[in-house]
Amino acid sequence: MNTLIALNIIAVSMIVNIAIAVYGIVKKPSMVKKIISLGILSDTVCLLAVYMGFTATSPHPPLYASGYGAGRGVDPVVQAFVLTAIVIALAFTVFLATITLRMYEVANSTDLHELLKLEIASEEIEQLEE
Amino acid sequence: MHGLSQVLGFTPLVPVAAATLILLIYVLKLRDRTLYNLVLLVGSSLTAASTLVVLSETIYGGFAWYCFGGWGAPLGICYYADELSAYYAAVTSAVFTAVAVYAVWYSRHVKHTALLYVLLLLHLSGLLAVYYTVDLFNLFVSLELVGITGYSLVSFYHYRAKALVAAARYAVAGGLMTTFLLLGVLLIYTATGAVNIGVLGAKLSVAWSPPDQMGFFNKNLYADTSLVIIAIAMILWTALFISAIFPNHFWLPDAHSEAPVPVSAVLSGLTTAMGFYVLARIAYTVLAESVLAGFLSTLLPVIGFLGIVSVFYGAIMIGVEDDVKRILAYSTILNNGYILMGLSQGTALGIAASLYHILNHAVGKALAFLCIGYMVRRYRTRNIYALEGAGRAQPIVGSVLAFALLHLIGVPPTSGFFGKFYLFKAFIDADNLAYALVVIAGSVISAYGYIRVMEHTVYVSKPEIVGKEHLSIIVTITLTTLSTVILLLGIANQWVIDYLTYTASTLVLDSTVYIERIYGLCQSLLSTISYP
Repeated sequence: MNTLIALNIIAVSMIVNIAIAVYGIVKKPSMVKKIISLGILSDTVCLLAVYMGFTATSPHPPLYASGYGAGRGVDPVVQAFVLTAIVIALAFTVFLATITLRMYEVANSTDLHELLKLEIASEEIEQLEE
Repeated sequence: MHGLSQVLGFTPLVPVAAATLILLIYVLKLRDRTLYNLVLLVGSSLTAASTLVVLSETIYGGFAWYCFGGWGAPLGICYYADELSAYYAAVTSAVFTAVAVYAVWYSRHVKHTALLYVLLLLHLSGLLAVYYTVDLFNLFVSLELVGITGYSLVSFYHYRAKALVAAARYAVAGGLMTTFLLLGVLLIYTATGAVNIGVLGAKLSVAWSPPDQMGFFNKNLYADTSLVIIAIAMILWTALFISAIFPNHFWLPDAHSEAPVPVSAVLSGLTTAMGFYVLARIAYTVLAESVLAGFLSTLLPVIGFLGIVSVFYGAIMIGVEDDVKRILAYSTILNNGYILMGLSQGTALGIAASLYHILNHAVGKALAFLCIGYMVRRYRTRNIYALEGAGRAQPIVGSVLAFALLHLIGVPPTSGFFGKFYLFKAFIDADNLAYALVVIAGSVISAYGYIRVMEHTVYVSKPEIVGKEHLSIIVTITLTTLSTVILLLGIANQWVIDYLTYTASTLVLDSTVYIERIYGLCQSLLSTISYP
């Protein structure tokens, strides 16, 4: 019974997490906050994957010793998915961090709304640079 | 075993090998531009050759497959090419090769040639992997490869604030959407226990049932079908994001106009077409003859409507914009609207016409971007008024640009006319007069924008900027080759549309073929395993 309550709490918190992350990605103008929100989102999806593979009836590690049949233990496939997804999320975060750093060096700001406004003023100068 | 193709397994790895070689040359400090060019050209033409081999293996009813490590469904990753996948892959790598030849000239003006080439080759590899894979999770991984290289290519001029902002907006929105795709794949795995498209199709299909109850091809679902609908909606939304269909189009004009010119040509002609492949695969292979067919029949008109909105939005913005590269970027939204309208018909001719239009758009848009890129490089401006007379000063580029724009408008001798004609015919055949009128209205409205570009860059003569045309032989070869391809496609339009109609009617609209082949594949792979 305690396991069931814990599982429900995790499920609710994951839904709240996804909502917060999507809000942060869509609404916050700062690149740093967008990166943090994207991190929250991808981590939540990874947690969701592990959660889906969990079987409350036999919550054992997915190691099959002789004598244990299939169906005992949690699903190992989703854990393999999560490993891949984490690596991709890392590469993506590194890329975004690099972009943000460059943005700060070039335009002295990481606020997307501010940068979009600035651009209209400096459009003519930008065109000459190409 | 029938259809086993080593070439298929190697095709997406060829660009990766070429990219690794370029990086090796870069790291070993043998930084010679000729070496980079050689590796790029050899790598891309080898890729094009091997996709053509795969196309020849699949032509008229054949298929090719390659399973990595000999592991089949449900968990092994297999590449499988039928005519649809092979067609997309062949178009992609062929147009990419033409753009790569142009990139050899373009990279003379770029500081980090090696990095541009590496990113372009990896982008190609990701696209091919998306077309060939049958595994949804592998599709997600390939899509992330396409995404991350695409975002990096947009931010290639990393000293320009505009390029960085465009790349950041594209990357943040793209990261959000691909995470939703991953969520969709995970939900599908939870609900059905399948990540393989064939197994998923078999589980949901009403037209096909396994001859024996072979483990994972059974009809057991672990959750309600509404969960599958939510998951598939997430995947299809991501596909529409990649294709920049109306509510998801906001990133495209900035991203495509800030990228280097060869990148713009690849992103707008080839990368956006990938979304349509994912859409067609999920909609017609998985959903069309399944228990969720009702969902698909409500979904297709909505998708068609989004296509119509994209057509009008793109057509109007073409006439408003003053920046030539942004005009071509909006033209991408317009043409993707046409393609989506054709795909949403669900008839063989409609799908065939949209596949034909994908080819026309890829070639025509690449050609237009390459001509515009030459002018922008020479006159250092993208403003349509500042480029006045540029076409007169450079007759070859000017006339080819005019030809490409006529192709995009759809003027008869070019292939673009036949693409739109078959779309029109498909809508009339399906008794869908409104869609047919949208094709005509979109063409007329967008013709104003295209002719405006033509008038300012080609027609107007300004004596003060007329000078000698210093056209590189590489650029001339690329432009003439692509123009010849457009003319040949126009002459061979009957053959092309017959072939594509056959593809659409046998493969896209008959999902049992796909499921049966994947089933047979797994059966024969299982029979080769000997248990200790």
